[in-house]
Amino acid sequence: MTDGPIASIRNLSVEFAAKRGTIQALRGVDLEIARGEIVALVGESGSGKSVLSSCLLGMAGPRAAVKGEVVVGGVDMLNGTAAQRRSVRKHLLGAVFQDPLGALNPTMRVGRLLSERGLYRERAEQVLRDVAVPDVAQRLRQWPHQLSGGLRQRVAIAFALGADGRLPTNNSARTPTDHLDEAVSAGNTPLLLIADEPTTALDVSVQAQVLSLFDRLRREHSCALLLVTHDLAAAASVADRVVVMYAGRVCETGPIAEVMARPAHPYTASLLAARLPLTPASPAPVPMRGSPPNPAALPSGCAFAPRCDLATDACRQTLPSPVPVSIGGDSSSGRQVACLHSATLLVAPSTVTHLTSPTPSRATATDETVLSLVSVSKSFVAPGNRKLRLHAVTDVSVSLQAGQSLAVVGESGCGKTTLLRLASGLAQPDDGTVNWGTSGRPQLVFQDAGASLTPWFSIGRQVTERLRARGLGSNVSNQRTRELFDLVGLDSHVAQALPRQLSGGQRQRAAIARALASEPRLLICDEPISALDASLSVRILDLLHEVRRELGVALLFVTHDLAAARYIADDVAVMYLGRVVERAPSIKLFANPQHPYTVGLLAASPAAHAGTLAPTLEGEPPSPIGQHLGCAFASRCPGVHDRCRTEQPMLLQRGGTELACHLIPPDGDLL
Amino acid sequence: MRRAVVTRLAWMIVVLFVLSFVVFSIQRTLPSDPVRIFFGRNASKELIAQKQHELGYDRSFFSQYGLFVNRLFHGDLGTSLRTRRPVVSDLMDFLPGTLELAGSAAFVGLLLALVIALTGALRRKGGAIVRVIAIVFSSAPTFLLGLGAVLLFYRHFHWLPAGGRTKSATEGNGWVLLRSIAKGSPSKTWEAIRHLAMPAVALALAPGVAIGRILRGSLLDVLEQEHIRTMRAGGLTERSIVLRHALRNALLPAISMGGLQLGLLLSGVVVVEVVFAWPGLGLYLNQAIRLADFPAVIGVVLVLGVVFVISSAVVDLLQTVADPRLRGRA
Repeated sequence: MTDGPIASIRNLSVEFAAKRGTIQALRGVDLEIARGEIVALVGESGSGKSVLSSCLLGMAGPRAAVKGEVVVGGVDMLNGTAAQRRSVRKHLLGAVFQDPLGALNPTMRVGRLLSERGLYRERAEQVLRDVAVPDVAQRLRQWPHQLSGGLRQRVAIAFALGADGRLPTNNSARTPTDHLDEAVSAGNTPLLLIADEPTTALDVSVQAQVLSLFDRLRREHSCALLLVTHDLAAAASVADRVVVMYAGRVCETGPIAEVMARPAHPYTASLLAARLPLTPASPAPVPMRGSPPNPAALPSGCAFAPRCDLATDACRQTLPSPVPVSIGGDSSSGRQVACLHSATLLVAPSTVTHLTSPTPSRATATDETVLSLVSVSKSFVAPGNRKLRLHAVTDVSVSLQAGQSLAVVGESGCGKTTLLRLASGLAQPDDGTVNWGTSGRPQLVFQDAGASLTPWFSIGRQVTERLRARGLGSNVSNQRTRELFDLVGLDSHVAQALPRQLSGGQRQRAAIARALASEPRLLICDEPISALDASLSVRILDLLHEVRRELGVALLFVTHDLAAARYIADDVAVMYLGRVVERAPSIKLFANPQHPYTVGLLAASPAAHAGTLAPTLEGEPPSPIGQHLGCAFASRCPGVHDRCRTEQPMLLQRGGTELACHLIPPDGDLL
Repeated sequence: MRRAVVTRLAWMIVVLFVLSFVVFSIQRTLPSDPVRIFFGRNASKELIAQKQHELGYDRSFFSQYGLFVNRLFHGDLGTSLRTRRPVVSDLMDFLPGTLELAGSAAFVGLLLALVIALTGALRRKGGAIVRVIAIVFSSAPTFLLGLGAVLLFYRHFHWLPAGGRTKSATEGNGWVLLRSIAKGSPSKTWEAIRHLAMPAVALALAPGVAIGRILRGSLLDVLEQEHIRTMRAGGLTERSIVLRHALRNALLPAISMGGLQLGLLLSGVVVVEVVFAWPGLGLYLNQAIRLADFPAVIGVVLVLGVVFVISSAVVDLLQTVADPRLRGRA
């Protein structure tokens, strides 16, 4: 079992019966994972990557019609008995899923949870220490809801690591203590970890910590990893090999550095081109044309042909299979591409336009103030102790002119969502004032457009209703609805559709159209692209740019996605524990971050490091409950000195940047 | 935790006051005169007036209520006009019977709920049939269900006794089941269970099905959740996933439903006791109402009120036991 692949998938096809016909989730996929290898599985939502990982776990479910072969550790995971498959899951595999908040049983203490996987006391403590959980003994007694998202994800990884790496050979009765001794002495890890979007829901700093943990597990325990992700930059930082999937088929596979440097499939090339850049002088993102195909009605030829610039009639007629390609005469790298035109692409890579200035030209901001927050603060009763207060936002001042755009970035719990609620009037500040000038209430665009649209009204009606509410007649309203649909790039015939009949991108466009119907002077966006695929998010950001340019609307953009902030905003404000620690023009902030926290945050982003592991920003923000003396970042700051621990730094001007840090002297002041 | 208990107790006293006042006002505004019923048609006017004065019925409403409350604080609920014994000692005789019946019904109901939920969630064969039968029977009114059961299991099959708590008519009071268990007498215990079977099941059916349906739905929801997928991927057996991981997470809505069903159970017990001639508070109340035995009626209402308030508090407590996330909140 030590030789050969740990897992091998041959000609795997999976279909689901649905109302609108058969959904073809996978169509003849081959994949092998060797011992200690990290394979990244990349593709848009609906490409079949999650179904593939379910099949590896032998958990395709009763509704799936599965054909082909899936073998893990010598056991047939498709036709084996339920007990055999379960035994493989128990002993050889570990799985980590996307949502760290939902991954742990909320009614079980961490220690008890780990014991369900055979990780008893000492072994549990050891595994938790392995995954860099602090205060291990205390954690074992805690409930999942008492842990932060990053810690929960690490506990979920610890649970996944409970597998001992070998199948039991005999079934002779064993006492629980035998099991304990064996587990403690063996100290083994699973042969293969399957991680489905393990870092998507995490903050940048935690994301870097989890990725480097995977890398260490591979180096120290030869634990192989299948990293299912849509984040190419994250994948590139740890993976050896990448498998790019589209519409249930593998379109390209090979060493990840090579594939990213010279993509041989047009889909891979456009995925790479659609990425939002973080480093200066990166190429401008090129949004992908069209949308992913309907999995219930796939074309007989190449599924990517309708979106491909190189497509010919041959592409539309024959379904290409992955074939080995050689680059520069070297065919040993194991690259395979399923494209008739891969040679064309490799010989003449598509020319990319470079972004001269990081932000495209903008409508000039006017003097009209559409938002002014003057030293607003908001605190809540602390959960669990009503005598203490949770300080969500402390003394923040922000003002925005019409046509301007400001991004507020920070890790979860930094207060950016509370700030958004204060700015939009959904919450009242305890202290300070909120003023929208003469412009009236701002409109909101949320992360999940599907949940923010009324499910039983057509989207056309939802827009028209807003117009009618402003007193417009029905003819004018209908005319204006068509104009708004045109502006946000929706066909007028989808006006009759209900929100659930639309794709994620279309829903977000409809939500933006509805927000614009009230003619706001300020649009507040809460993570508007984090639920969308990379190819769509660029287009939504471009739409927001256009709205700004055409209508002079100001944008307040709240996100934890630094690349999106850089792309959309003139100015970026970085929040940490309820305060703004740095505010600067976007170009300046990303080229030359000043505050140690901003520096750490940018450094931790995988997009900032082509193909290598990002340095991690260690530790976690302190609790927002109760009062803090001094700078909140002092506990994690590499350059901390005594003054930082006793005195709260003020937000002061330093050459066009507003900065709250004792380490950097203000203008005209010599330290 | 202590704060929650104190708040609860304070509320319980408020609830009991309101309850006693409402029942007291209803009985004083009713046209029937207990003294006339007590002495019969031929009593002299003087005798009636004297007795009414003795019982304080000739005083003003609030003065009567004040008297009632004052006696209540001394543990005195007055004398039953029907049995001519102190109401408190009547209640002591009949309360255990009602508690044994309601307790057994709650037990049977929870068992039924678990069967409905688990067969449904584990997609066991026959689960759907059990559910359909249970829903059909629980849709019938309790008294009809009781009468039908008597006809079938007593009249036709001669399997179960028609009513009462024991074979002998004199041993009807106190903790019949608990005492025979404590004495270690299998024959008497069996006898008590045989008498309990029909009334307990008739009483348990509706709440059991209501809780079971909620629990099944919530269990199916929980089984779709990510942490359950994590457990499956960890190679746990389906059985331990459902019993150890999903069930406790699915309990919250079922417990809320259980709290709602408690009130229905306590009003159902009155009907069931009459149908099965079960010597408990319900039967006692039924006879007291017919003779306008007001002290007895108030006594039963207050005792059932206390039982309801205490058991609702226990239900609330169970919520925080089931879900650790609720702890530490007010």
